[in-house]
Amino acid sequence: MAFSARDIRADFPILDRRVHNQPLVYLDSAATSQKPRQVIEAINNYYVHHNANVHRGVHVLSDESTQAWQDSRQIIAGFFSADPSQLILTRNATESLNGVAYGWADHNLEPEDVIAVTHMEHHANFVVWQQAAKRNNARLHVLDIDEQGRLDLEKAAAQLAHWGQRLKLVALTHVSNTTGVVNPVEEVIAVCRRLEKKAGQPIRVVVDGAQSAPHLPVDFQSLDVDFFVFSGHKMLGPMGVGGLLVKHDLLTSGQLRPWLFGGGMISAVFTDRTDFHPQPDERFTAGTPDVASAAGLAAACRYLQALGMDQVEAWDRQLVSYALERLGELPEIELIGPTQARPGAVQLDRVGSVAFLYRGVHAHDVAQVLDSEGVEVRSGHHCTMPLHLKFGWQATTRASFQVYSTKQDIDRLLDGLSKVKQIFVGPRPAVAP
Amino acid sequence: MSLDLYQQNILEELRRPRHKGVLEPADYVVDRLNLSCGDGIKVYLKTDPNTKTIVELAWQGEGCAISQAAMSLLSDEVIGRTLAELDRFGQVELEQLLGLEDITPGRVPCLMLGLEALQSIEV
Repeated sequence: MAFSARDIRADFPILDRRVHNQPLVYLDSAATSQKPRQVIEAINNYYVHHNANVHRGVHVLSDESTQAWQDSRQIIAGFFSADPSQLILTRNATESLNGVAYGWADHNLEPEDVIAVTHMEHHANFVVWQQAAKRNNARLHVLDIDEQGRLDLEKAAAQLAHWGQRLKLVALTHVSNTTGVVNPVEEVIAVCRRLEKKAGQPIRVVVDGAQSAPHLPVDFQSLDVDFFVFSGHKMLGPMGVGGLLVKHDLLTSGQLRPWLFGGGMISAVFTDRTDFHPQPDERFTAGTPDVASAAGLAAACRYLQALGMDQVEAWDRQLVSYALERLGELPEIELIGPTQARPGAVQLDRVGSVAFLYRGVHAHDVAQVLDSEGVEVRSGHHCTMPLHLKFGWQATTRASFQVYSTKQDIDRLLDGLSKVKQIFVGPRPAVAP
Repeated sequence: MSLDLYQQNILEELRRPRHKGVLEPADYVVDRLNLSCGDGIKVYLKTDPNTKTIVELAWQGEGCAISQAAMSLLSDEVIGRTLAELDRFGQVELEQLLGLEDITPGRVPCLMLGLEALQSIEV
């Protein structure tokens, strides 16, 4: 089946609404994606027909609910080519990263150990490690990026090698939510595997997939990563559900310990001690899980799978390149992030979004004028303050895409930007000088 | 909210801001950052030592049209008032100064930035 954003749009009811009496152009999918009817119906169906607590009863509804939970976990894990036993469902990528910090880092770091992150991280993958470093008297090393916002792999490898046995954890994003840069995560992981052999002890790698899972095929097994996190709501699923994928050895060795305690995660409780559940998916799910959201996320995974993640990626790349081309024609726009492929590379290493500065006009004002034209974009620091500070950007405006985005959406963005010019710069002369 | 936000008076303040500059030495120097967008406003004040009336004011800032226009208009309003009187200003008063109605929640921090800097002075 040919990929057709036009047909896909029919599945997203919200895209029919109007904003300020204009047809909605939603270009803020990196903040959260819209949801197809199939996802909304899955959530609705759960509450209308099956709602009951999981594992708690022998009655029909409880069985159905438990089945829905397990089926959803299977589908979500399968989407990432992972085994369901490796999947811990959380609220979102942020909670997953905190889980790695509280469940792994706090039990495995020693004073003077090193956690490495990059300068482009979202606060979720930055603050978590900064704070974990503080709690454990460890050191946070921030890996440099170049002028285009890319990680310099050779330099990064040298910086990581410098720490020798002290290096315990490398946390990096798969795709930057600000520059759109796709990090060479396979290469970074390969570097870490070489270094750990040399050091004679493991270096754990965390990949933040919040911005990659919506646009790129992700194969957790072949990635050889220790932890991979994602947010359901950025990949057509509902808010409030995300995941943490964990390598088997970390689960079976007990190196990753529960960080949330209570019902569901236990096998036996005594007044002086508790035995935790032997199955990892149970051991890391304390309290009543959000079954409806899991069902919604499973429906989102099925939806993306039916489209084919290769096709999803190809469409996104077309949109990114079209946006870069159109915005690049405007002298008042300064594009953020790479616009040319790396030397020798087949394609540009960026997906998902195009952020920019509008010379002389604040990003909030740009976004507000665009909103008045029905075009919804994000303005601000996009939770990447260290990146914004590094480059001296006060705030940027970001247009981001999903499977339902079209080139017409980008044309409407350009129309909106001419309105910004009219208001803040003045009317265009009738005849060009 | 529509494009009314960018009505002529606001754009005019943006082009020709009142009292923008530095005042040194000053009796009070206060600043405020809007962490969601990196905007910042710094205000310098000279006051009458007895009455605490604001006799001179200058401000520096970078930010969106709303934060800058609000501070510009506010600066004219507060000169000649005492520090204690700064409490009389709030969101409604700023909206009136700018001639705006029902500013959206997302822009309230922009509107309030300069005023919050001023109100951080302990009287």
